[in-house]
Amino acid sequence: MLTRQRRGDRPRGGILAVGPGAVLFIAIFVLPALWLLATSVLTAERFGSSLPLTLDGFRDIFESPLTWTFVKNALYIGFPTAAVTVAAAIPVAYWLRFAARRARIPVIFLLIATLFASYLVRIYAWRTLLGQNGIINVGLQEVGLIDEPLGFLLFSRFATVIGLTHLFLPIVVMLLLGAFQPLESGYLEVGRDLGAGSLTVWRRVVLPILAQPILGAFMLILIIASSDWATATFLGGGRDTLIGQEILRTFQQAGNYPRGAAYTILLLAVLAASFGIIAAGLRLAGLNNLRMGDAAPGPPRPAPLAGAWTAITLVFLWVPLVLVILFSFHRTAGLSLPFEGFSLRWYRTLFDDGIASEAFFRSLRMAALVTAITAVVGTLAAFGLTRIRPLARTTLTGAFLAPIALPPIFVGAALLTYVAALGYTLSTRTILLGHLVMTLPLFLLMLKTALDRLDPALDEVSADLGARPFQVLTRSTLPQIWPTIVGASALTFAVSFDEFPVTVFLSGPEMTLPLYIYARARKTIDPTINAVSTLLLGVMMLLCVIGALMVLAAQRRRSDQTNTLANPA
Amino acid sequence: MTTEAHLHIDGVSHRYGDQDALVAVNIGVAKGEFVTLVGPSGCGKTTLLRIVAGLLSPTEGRIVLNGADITSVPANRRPTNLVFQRPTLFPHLDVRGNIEFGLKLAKLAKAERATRIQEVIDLLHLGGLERRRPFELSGGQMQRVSLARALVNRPEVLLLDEPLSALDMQIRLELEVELRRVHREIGATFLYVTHDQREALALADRVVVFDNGSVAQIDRPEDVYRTPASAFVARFVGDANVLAGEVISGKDHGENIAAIHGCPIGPTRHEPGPCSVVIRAEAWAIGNHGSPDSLEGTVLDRVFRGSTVAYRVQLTADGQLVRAEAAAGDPPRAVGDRVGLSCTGEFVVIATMAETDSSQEGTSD
Repeated sequence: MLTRQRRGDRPRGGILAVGPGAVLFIAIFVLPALWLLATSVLTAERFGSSLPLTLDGFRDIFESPLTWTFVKNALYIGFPTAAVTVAAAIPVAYWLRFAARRARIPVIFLLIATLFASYLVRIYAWRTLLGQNGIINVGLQEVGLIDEPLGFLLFSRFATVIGLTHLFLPIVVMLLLGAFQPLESGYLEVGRDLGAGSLTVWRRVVLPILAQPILGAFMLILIIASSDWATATFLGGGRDTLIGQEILRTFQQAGNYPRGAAYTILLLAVLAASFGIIAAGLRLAGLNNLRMGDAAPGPPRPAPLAGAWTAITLVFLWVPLVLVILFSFHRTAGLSLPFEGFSLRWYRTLFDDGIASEAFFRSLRMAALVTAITAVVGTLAAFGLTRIRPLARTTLTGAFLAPIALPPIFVGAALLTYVAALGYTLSTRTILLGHLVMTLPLFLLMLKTALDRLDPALDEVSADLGARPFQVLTRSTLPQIWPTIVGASALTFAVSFDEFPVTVFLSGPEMTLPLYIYARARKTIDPTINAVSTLLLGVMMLLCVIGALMVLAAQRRRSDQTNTLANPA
Repeated sequence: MTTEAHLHIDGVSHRYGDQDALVAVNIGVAKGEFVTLVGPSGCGKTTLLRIVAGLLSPTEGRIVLNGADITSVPANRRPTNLVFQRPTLFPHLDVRGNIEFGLKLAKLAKAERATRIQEVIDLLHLGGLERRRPFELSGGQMQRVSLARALVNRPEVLLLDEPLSALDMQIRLELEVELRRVHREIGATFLYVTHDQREALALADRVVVFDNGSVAQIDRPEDVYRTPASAFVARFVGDANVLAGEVISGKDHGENIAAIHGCPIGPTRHEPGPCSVVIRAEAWAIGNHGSPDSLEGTVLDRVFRGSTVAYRVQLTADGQLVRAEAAAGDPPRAVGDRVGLSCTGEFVVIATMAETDSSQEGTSD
């Protein structure tokens, strides 16, 4: 009798597929992250570091009284932004889940479309809205509600928080919508049936189910908002220096890498501590202090309040963008009412500006290259992850997705110290590496979600019908998930085309389009920025439409399936 | 088993971790035979089917097909095809695309593919559905397509893993008839897993009854039903009564007698000693209390089933429950009536030490 001992009967080739992604990821994320940690205890040299080990970097920042001001300024922006964004997003997600019906897909589309509007454009839009001669002030004066322009509107923490909320609101709505999915309206009815009033239903049923996702969304926004600094320089008036800004300054102007690394680690530590305190607080309070009940209407009459709030949200998200587009066609240089007629002069100015069009095409090329690499490496890695042993799968997935939970500034700073140590000069190539660190995790996450939904039995059916492992991939798996691959690629292109916070660390003399907008908008304000923003918006919207059509096609197929199963012919 | 068997499952064992799923299973299947593997859920029958398909490697043993050891041949190169329990069609392909899947992988010419597809479409009455997507089909249609997708490759052995269990009773009965017709028409070897003993008996040339990872009996359906090899088989197939009894040495004619609580059931060739007596519900006659040579009991329960009435009777002597069936026209007994049971039909004696109570697998599903 033959004795056979084989390990598992999983299709082979997983390691081979994950390989390229894992190696790339170690090279451009894991090693740089470790190097950043090491740099913080090295001796500073101008734009570099060397032995011996020292704690000077940390001593510098802890002895400086300004450090805590930087941290405090960042948290003063981060906490209100996270709180406002999450509180505003809950009713919208709730409405989408339980009341939206046929409006659901269009509203989701309108929300996601604003995400595809460029990061810098969205910040910039608020500047023209909130300024002394901005549309809000002029409008209010016209109507006679105020005599003097409201000074606090622009160049204030208020403006920064508004701008950041505008940036993150759609993301949080989508995150919470995902969390609402398992929340069957049946639960709510059961809760009510058992004698719970509407507020009690919220407190006892809805919030406990949502506590984790809400905390997750809050933390994500806290992390990104606290380390964001561009918004504060545009809308906050630059009076308060945030720690993110100081990190960039330390690396780029002072060239003190160990101190910059120490600052970055401090930022991470502060964010981790915030997370710990909030989580512990929630546990102590038994969730009862999470007073979302006010913002969120109870289930019995959800539609009017949550629906109205959703409408307000859409107006809040779209008005600034529409105005940016409108004023890009303005006949005069004015960026406020009254509107004095259409012209294409600002587009002509833009195209006559060699640097601008160079930046535009450079960004297109960069995004195309990043997308190609991400799609190939990411698709392989996502497939590979389904075919390796569970322990390796969990570990690798965690590592791959880590950059999503880290501030972009950390990724930028880590790669900067790393390429400097390797002796590379900053150029479009270093930007490319930075973009890959940002796009690969997103791509992988989207694909993993789609792959997890596939019926694993179809792999066996394919093998049984004569497919070799590679043919299982090409004949069965790929044809089923290609809409997701296209959609994820569109998103990847958009992220790269628009990337700013990492790019700014890694750029050499050549500018990408977002860098151009940043540089130009800091100096002057005229409709040229609106024109370039509109172009940027156009490219992104196009991608958004492509991506949305793909996802819709896939979804229609799936929903048809459920319908037919429900009433077979 | 003989070595000339078409498909020979030779000493196959399988362990998941430290749990035995299969223990030294030997089954020989002749060419063109329809064999059902039946047993309660979790008895290892699906594991065995997956091992034959090549989707799982056995811990021990070999799979021999046409005299060649194919144990280490991967699933995609085996001349076997598997029909899964749940209809698993490729959602991105229509009916024709699903059926064509294996033919394309086998690199058959287009004309040949078309001929073969038409064959199975006719065979399974799928005409007109070729361009439908899986989500546009009913459950029964989906499973027919799964069957067509497997058969079109002309497998030497067709493996079926409870292919009807997800369907409604009516569609199920229809497809059973079709499966038998298809088997007759194409003459391939069918290996069919089910937990439904009725289905197993209805379909098969031979039935393999599984108990806890090992083969309890291999026989023609009639023989499994009439002469179960163990108390487990008797209980599982046809839900027979297995009662504790004894064999008494026959003084007069030299023929031994099987008896339950001193009540003679009938002659047997077994040696005197304790035994189990298997008596099916329909083999009992329900007489009045006190009839000679009858077992005394009380009616606990009565279910009208159309042509028959099913009773549950508790024996007075030791409280054992007995299922008995009477024709609808027989004098009715009420719950609580005291009756006398006598065996007028077939019975099987299984000489055992303590088997009667050791194998008490559930037969509920």
